[in-house]
Amino acid sequence: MMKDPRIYGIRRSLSGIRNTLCVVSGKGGVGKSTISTLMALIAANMGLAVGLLDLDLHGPSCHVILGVGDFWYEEERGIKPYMYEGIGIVSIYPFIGERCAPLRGVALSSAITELLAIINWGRLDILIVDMPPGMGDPLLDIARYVRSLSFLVVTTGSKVSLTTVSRLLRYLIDHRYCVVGLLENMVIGAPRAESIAKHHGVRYVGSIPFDAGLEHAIGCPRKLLETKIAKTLRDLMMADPLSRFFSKPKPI
Amino acid sequence: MHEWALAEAVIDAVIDVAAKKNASKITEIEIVIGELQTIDIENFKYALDVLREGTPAEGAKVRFITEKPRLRCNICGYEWTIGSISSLLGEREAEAVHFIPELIQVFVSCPKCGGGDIEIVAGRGVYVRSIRVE
Repeated sequence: MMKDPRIYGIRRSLSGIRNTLCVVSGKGGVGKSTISTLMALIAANMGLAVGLLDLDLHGPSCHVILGVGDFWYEEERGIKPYMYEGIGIVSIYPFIGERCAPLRGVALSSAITELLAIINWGRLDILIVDMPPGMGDPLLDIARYVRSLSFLVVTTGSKVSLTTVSRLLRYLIDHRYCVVGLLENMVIGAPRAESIAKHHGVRYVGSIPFDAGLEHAIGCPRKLLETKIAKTLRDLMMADPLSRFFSKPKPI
Repeated sequence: MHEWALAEAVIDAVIDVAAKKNASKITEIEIVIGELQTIDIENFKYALDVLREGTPAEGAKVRFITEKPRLRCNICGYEWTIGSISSLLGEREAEAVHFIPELIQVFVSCPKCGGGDIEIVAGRGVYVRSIRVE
């Protein structure tokens, strides 16, 4: 059998994207989806052409955070991202609705490959990828297919999260992936992750305090933008090392 | 259309393989069409013909081999063949499987034991089985 033609489809699909930022963590529940979705929302409000890819096929949630409701994709040389609040969204959600997606590794990898191959992203300033927790097929697939990929690693200050995130950082660094930095989320009291970043020689992007008001803003983009977490995140996106992903392209 | 994206990927793949073999012309392409993906074959053929104009694949004989979808239950080992996707699934579910064939595993259970741990054995979707070049 020949090389999988979908790999060529993926190259074509991603060819118009300036930057791809992949939001990862070894652990679940650290706020990857919230960070990814808010960054997309803030970037869209800055006037950037932004795509948001929810690659958590077992538990898609970006659409819930944004309050997208039921949606479907238009077809044009593949499927076009669903435009909502200025964000081009792609998620497994329209396909599976409220069902589970019981996919084993090989099937999961094939489903991700297919999805990546058929999306017609067009031109984007930035694609933000919300990853599922862990270091399985989705992480390995996105790293294999997207050549100019940068990882933003998210953790909480919990020892449980820091231990696993430390492993992930070691893996990414040992294998020469581009790690933008470590972002500490849901901080209560003093931040704790800076020493982990230093230990691995990556940038400490900053800390985002726990925001009890977030839950009330879920499903409402306007309220989301007014949360403390969004305001902190916006400041971090304007500063080094994230700012290069969220600057507008200079006119030629 | 989705068929266009599939055809683009196939043409890109065969042209790349031919270039790596230093071939100037592709004479034959064998494409397997797994019926689970329920592609519109006429649209797919049309897209292939348009996309290969002016490329080394122009003029190649294209052979299509259709493959019936076959599933297996990982719990009891039962295997079965799917006939018509449209009679098995609702319109939206069938569309989902059209885009991502693995999603059949979301919508069907094992007809023998009722298990929900299914895998696709054959007939998944489009792939290039072989090409001949000169």
